[in-house]
Amino acid sequence: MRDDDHSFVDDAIRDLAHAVEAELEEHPDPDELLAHSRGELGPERAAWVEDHVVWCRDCASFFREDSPFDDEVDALDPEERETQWQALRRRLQETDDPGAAEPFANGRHRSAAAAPLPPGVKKESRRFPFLQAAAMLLGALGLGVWIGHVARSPGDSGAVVANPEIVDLVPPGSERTMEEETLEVADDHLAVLVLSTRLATSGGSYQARFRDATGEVVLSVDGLEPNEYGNLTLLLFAGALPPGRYSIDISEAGGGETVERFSLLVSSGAR
Amino acid sequence: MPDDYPEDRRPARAQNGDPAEDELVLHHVQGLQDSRRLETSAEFLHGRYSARVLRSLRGRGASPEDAADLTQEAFLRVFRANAKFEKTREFEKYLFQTAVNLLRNLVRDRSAVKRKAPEDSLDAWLERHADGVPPPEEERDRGALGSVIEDEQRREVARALRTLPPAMGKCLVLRIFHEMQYREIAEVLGIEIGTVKAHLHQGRRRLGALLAPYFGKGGPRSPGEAGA
Repeated sequence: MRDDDHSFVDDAIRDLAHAVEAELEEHPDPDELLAHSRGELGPERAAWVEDHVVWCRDCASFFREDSPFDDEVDALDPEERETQWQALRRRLQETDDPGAAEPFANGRHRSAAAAPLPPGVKKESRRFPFLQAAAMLLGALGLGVWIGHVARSPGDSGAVVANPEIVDLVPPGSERTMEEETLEVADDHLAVLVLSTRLATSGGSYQARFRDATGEVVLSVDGLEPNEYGNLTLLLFAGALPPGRYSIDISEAGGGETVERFSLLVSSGAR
Repeated sequence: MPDDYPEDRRPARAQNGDPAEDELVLHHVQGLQDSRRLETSAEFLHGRYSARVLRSLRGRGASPEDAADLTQEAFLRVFRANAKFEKTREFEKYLFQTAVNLLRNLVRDRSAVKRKAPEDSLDAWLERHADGVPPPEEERDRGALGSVIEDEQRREVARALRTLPPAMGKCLVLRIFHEMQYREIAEVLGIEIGTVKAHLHQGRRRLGALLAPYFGKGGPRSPGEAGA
């Protein structure tokens, strides 16, 4: 029999496949499909996924070379998209969200539904690396902080330096802002300011100019270099700025146009 | 359909057709692993894919409200997942699969009828459709005789498929039902492309010989006509 006489075989297989597919109830989760595509599943589970994929068009689409999405789709109405994004963003920030307690996938090899963390193990915070970076910087600059403090307060050379507070500063209206933060620094406390910028992450030296409400530059810090995340970190010594509202203008070293601007409120006395 | 219909029947699209754009998407996909870039990347990816996810879910019968809820849930889960994506396509497929699975779960949870999940797709189907088992209600509605004939034909096809080496049968289904390319089949089954081609050629011939008594050329006929 010639091959092209077998069209009824193709029709029969399609008919059967539709019937089998309609009765599939358990589907592999995306982690398993990803692991299978990378050859990382154990033999037993790999065999199950393979048997399933043969009959399931949705799951088989994971192994296709083209996109599972239709590229012709019109974008959502900007207003609707923004509303949806803001709702999603709020949930993304909520650590107590039910979805966070049951992470969909905690690893490539594990079932999405069965990925609880072991007792006593805490989920790593997304913000941790940021604080860690600030803490490391503090450690690295610890000596400098102490010297700076002594230099400004020679009479207190024997005093214990209080832990400086770490203040995250984000530009107003920044897309990176997770929440609108009230930025406040007490004028009698040493503070570490971490400015979250959109600057290039390598190369370049920047200057921070603190301007008071009248626009006058009251403090200037040179030689700031962004870290790998584009953050600028600088120390604000106790008493360096009197209480009031300030803007911090960031520009390239040696002056030039302001490339980023932050706002800061300095309050009086210990809080 | 001829055994060797052109491989370019469903040509693989380039990575969105624009390497620079694809690189930008990949940059943000990888930004999901970086706490400092998470929000920016999440917003970018949501903006780029939310309409596509929504449309996929609507196309599968989700109501507008369900589609919107499931889209948000899918993004949330993908953004919180710990999966590392090496390609844009991996992220897209992961997102798509997450959304589709969520829709399936929703439909299943709302359905009163639940069955035990099958251990093996084809064997489980055959078991459920063994001889003598009355057809489901919806099939009876379509006419008892037609339903019996259809069911018998499917059983014969299923039995014939099971007589083939497993990889050969799977190659046939992936090619004919999914219209997969040779290399895609090879990836699913973990075999060489040459083996895929050989399986397809042999599989059609063997299945044709096995099923010939039950089907007339160009279309099926009833089991009672076989051998007549």
